[in-house]
Amino acid sequence: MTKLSNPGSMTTSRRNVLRGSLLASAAIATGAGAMNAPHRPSRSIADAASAKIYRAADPQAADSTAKPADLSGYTRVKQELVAPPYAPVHEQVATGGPKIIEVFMETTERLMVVDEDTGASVWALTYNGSVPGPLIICHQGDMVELTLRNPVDSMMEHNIDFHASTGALGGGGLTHVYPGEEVVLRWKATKAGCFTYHCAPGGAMIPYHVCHGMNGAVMVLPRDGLKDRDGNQLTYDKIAYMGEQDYYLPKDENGDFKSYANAGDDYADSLDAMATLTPTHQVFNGAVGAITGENAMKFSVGETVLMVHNSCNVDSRPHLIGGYGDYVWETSFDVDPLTSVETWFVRGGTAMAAMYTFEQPGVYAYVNHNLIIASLKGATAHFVVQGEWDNALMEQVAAPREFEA
Amino acid sequence: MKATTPASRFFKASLRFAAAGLAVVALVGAALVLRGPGDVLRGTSDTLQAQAVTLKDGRSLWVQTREVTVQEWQTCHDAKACDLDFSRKLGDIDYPATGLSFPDAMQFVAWVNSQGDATWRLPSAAEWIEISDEVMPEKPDPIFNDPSLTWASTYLIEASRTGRALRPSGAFSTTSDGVSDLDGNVWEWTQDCYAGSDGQAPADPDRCPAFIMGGEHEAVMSYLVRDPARGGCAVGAPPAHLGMRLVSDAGKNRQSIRDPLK
Repeated sequence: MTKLSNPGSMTTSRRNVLRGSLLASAAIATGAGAMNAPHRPSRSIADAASAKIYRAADPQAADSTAKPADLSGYTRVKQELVAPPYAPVHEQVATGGPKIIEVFMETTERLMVVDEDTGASVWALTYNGSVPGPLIICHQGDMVELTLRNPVDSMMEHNIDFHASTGALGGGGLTHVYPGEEVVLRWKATKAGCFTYHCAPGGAMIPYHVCHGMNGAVMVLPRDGLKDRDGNQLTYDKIAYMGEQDYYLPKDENGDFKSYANAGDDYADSLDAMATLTPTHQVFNGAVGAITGENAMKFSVGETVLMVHNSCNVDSRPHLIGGYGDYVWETSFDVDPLTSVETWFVRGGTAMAAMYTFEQPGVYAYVNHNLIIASLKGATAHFVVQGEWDNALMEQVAAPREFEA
Repeated sequence: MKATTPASRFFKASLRFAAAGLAVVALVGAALVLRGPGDVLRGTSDTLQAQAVTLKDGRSLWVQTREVTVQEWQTCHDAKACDLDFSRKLGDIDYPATGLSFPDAMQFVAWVNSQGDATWRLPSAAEWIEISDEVMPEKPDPIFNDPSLTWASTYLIEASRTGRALRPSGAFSTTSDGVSDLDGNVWEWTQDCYAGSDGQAPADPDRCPAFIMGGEHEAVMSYLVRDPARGGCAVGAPPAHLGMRLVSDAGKNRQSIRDPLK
C-alpha cells in the first residue's frame, strides 16, 4: 500500500451524481467518467440517510425571514491553524472589539500508521491532515468563520459540528461538503470554555468518522482571559493540545491488523469492531508515541502549561505523573476552576483545560490514568522539563541499598 | 534506571582476528549442515547458524548470526518444549521471533541444549556489548546531567534510526565477524541480572526481577515482559521488541561445532 491519495478523482461534481433521483440517470450523467473511475465505495444506508437530510434542506421555496447578521463593529482577522500539539498564535486577553476570525480547514483522508510496532494503520479522516484536528482559539463574543473544503480526491462527504456554536446541529446541518466542494460557515462564540468539534455526516457515519480521527477542539477564552476564583489573572506560557483518539481497527483471522486500499473500504469491518466498544488503540494525537521520545514536548521549570484535552468519544481521566492540575476547568470558563487536582475528568464529547506550573525538572508523563489505556492502548504523552532540581520538594535520601534482615 | 556500561564499549574492538569470516552451523538436530559465510539459514529448523568471535580476553565464542527466528521458535513449540505458539506468524518465518519473555527464552535454551551435545546459552551483557560494538550508534548525551536527575537522564529525545516496525532477519547491519541485526529494533535478552543502582547483584540469581537487554540503547526489562508497551509511567524509550540470540563457548563444544573450512 504505497498510494497515499485516493484514486478516482473526478472532474464531474460528485454531488450531481449523488443527487440523481435514479441510479440510472446517475450512470448516464457520469458516463465514461464513471467507467474510468477505478473504484467507488458503495454508499451505506447511513450515508444515504444523511444525504436525504441534506436534500430536505436544499430546495428553497421562499426567502428566509431571518434577519441578516449585524457585522458592524467586528474586525476581520485570519487565524493560521497549526498541527497539534501546538496552538495557533493568539491573545490571552482580547484587545480591541469583537472579531470575525477566519479559519480554513480541509477534510483530508490519509493513511496513517497508528502503531509502528504492529504496523496497525488507519485511513484517517481528518481536518487539515492531523488527528486531532487543529485547535481554534477565539474569545467570547467573537465569530468564527470557517471555510471547509473537501478535496476533489476524497472518497467521502464530510461536515462539521461545533459544540461551541448554537443551532443547525452545531453547524453540521449547514456544512455537508462532497468531494470538490467547499462551504463557509460563520458562528458566534457565545459561551467561554473548551469545546469539541467533529464530523457528523449522519447515522453510523458519525461514530465512523469520529473514530477515524475527525474531531478537534475550539477554545473560547473569556475576553479578559482566565482567572482564579478570586479574580486574579491566570496566564500560561505554552499550550499542550492533546486529542485522545479511540480507534477500533479491524483484524484478520490471524489477529493481524487489516490494511485497506482506500478510505472507506474498512467501513463494514470498522462498524463491527466499533460495536464491541473496546478500542484497539486509545492514543494522544493520532498514534502511539505521537508525543513521546523525540516528539515529547519541552518546557522549563517555572513555565506554565495549559493542557487542552479533547476527547470526542470516550471518557478520560488525565493525570500528570509527577505534577498536578493547579487549575482545572472541566466544563466551561464560566465557573471557578478546580484547584490542586491530581486527576481530572474529560467527559466523552468535550474538550477541557488544565493549567500547571512546572516546579521540578525531569520527565513528566501525561496519561489517561486508566493505566491499562495508558500503557497498553497508548494514551501517554511526555513532557521534558529543564531546570534546577529542588531538594526541598523531593530528595533521594538513601539510594537503594541492602538492609539487614 | 542505570545499567553499568563497561568502558570497553567505547573502544573499537581491535583484537578480533582468526575466527572472523568463518561460519559454522552447530548441530542441534539430526544432520550436520555446513554453510558458507553469508548463507542464509532458511527452512532448516534443525540447525543454528553461528560465527566464531574472538573476545578481547582471548576467549572464542560462537555467536548465532541471526536472532532466533519465528521458524526456529516454532520448531521448539512443535516439540512441545516452548509454550508460545507462532503458528499465526508462519507467514513471516524468516523474521526474528519476538514477544519473548525471559522464561520464554529459557525454554528455547533448554530445548536447544536437549537436541545435541552443544551447550548454548544467552550472552552476558558484556559479551553482547563487545560483539555489537562496531555497529552501535554513538551513545547520545544524557538530557540531564544533574545527579538528582539520573532517573530521567536516559530518556531519549532523538529519533531511533531503526524505527519500530519489524523487518526480516538480516535487514540491519552485519559486523565484520558476520553477526547481523545487533543494531536492529529487537532487543535481546542477556543472562545478566540487573544489579540495581548500588551495583549489587541479587543474592539468589534464580530470583532475578529484571535483566539487562542487548540493543540499540541500554535497557533493563522485567523478566516477565513480552511486549514493552511504550505508555504509562515508564520514562524513556523502551525497546521496540524482545527477542533472543544464543552463544556457545567454543571450548566446551569442540566436538559439535566445527569449522567448515577445515
